[in-house]
Amino acid sequence: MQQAAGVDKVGSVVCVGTGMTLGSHISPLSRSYIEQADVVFVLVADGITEQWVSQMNSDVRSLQSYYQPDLSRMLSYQQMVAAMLTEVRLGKKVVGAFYGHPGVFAWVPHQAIAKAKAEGFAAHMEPGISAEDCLIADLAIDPGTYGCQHFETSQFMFYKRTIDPAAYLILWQVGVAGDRSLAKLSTGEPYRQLLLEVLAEHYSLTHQVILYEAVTLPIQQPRITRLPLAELVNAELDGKTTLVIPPATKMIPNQAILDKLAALQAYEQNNQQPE
Amino acid sequence: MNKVLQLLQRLGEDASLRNIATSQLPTVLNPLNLDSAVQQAIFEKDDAMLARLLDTTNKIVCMIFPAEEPAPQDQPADLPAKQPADTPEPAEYDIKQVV
Repeated sequence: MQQAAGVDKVGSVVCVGTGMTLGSHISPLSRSYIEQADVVFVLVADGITEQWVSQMNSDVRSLQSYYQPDLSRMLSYQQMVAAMLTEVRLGKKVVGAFYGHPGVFAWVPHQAIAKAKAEGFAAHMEPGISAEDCLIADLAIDPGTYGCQHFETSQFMFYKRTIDPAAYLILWQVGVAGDRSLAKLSTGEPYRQLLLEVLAEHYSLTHQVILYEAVTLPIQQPRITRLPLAELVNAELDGKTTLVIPPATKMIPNQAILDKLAALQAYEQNNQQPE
Repeated sequence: MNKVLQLLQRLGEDASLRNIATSQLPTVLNPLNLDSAVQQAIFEKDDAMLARLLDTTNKIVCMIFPAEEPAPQDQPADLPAKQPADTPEPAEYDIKQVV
């Protein structure tokens, strides 16, 4: 049991990232939190990694069982948070071990920490190497070069967003594009056609895009499939697949601002005090 | 730790083994005296087979983010506060002044 300084209750929760690849990415601190916890809840991308984490502590509980066929994932997420908070309230040192970075495209860790803090328990997050980090390395792209927009695919479809086709566009969970029930583990061709309809407002259907999947086991290679946008409809996608759309247009200079900046620079140079 | 998991961890964390050629794998695998089916799965990079041999679930749900609009407590703190219902819409002149 543990009581951290500045909090008024015994019990705590730390959400740690295991990184994407078994053995390669977990930080020494995240591993130490797992090893020293009273109870560890684990949610990772494959069963072998789950087994690997299970061997780091004598009380490791999988959160996978909360996913049920045809049950809204939102309900599953709420049950996961509730399970973690129950142990925190019992005064235990709880760790949530999540694949990748526990704060990136991950509702459960954020909610567990927020709820625990609201109830007066110590709670924080330790970062991990995310799928985005692996994507940048494996595809050799720098998000700073042209800029980069990230969206969860379904959310991207549900809301009107401002897309900049001069930047990278990265759509996560493309395998469940357009699922409003949150109960599907994949959506099919009609849903992807609608995604294509949204994307076609900004991109040519012949534009080359990339389907990416990070390595979770060190015996694998990353999936990097290049294809024309139109072929997305019939492509093989699952929960791990990410759609990467490279820039399709050139960046347009903002001449009005560039002129004002030049004038400002000239003004500063003309008004410099002599030393 | 289970010998297979130990091996996978080593393959993941040892730079000299990270991109080891299949022809070099026996030098790592043989001393461990692993089950031949496990060795075969590793040779063939067959993670589904490896999962079966480890008696674990290969197909796992790894989506942990909902698609709908975030709940109010998830929204960034610096979003502008909503105007009261009786606040008049800004006139076109005001918008031009801002631009």
